[in-house]
Amino acid sequence: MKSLFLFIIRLAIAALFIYAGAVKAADPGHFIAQIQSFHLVAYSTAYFVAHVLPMMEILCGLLLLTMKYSCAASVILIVLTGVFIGVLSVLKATGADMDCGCFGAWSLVKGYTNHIVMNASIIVLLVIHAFRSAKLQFLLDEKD
Amino acid sequence: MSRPNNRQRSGQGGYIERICYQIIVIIGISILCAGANMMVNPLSPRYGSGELREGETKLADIPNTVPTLWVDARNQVDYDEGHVKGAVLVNESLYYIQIANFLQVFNGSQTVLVYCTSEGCDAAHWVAERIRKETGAKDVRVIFGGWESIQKSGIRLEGKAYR
Repeated sequence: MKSLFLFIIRLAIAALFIYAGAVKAADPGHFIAQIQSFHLVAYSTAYFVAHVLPMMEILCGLLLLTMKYSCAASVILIVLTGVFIGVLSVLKATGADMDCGCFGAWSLVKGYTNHIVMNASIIVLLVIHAFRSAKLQFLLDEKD
Repeated sequence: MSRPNNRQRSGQGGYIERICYQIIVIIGISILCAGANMMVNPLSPRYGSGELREGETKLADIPNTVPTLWVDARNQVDYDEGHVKGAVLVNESLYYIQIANFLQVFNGSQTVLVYCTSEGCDAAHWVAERIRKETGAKDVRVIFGGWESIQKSGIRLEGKAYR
């Protein structure tokens, strides 16, 4: 039962990141504008992040689905989500009123608090998955 | 000498090394995919095309509550064809004549928004700079994307094309 639950969670998180990455990759211009509206990074950084980050999300989502390199994918997604929570917290603290750009032009979740809660939950689930896949890999290694 | 097997490699240090290697591979593949997306995706902007120049602002960054005065820096023909409702025509070629029209409607506290044809148009910057220096206007901004972005924004327009 626990395995089934974790399997479903893994699928859900993978699907979420693949969706988020796909909508941002489809319209990088909009995502660049979103990043620039935060006024936290230079244009060159925004341009690089807007193109690479969605690809990383899609790739890590696919790796979670296929369970290849899934621990590494989880670590990357944990770092990305953590940085993102940090950015949202800074924006909320400064009172900035902007769309976070999480899902490009097709945002379904609105409001900073909702985003922070959602992303914190995702980090917890990714940490659980990362530990599980690390434990599984150790067991496989020891069998060899 | 045979290669160490997974058991010999595995220890904590070996596993962390493997994870780091996998992370580097994932980042490398992401960068390659991003490069491919830049080349094939028609919505991917070329580098520098979205960068704001000094004094520029995007329409979306202007709060609705701020009192504004629009200045059109294009030529008379384009202005007559269509312009922002209430915009004053002040262009480079007739600046010293047309600035009088601007001064008649400028009350000293409005945010002055200057636009010309499109992104990268220098006329709006020239007019904005002169207005800043010569009229005492404190807040003068050039609209990023110019008339092209204004037409897509839903701002009220008037002119021959909008009757």
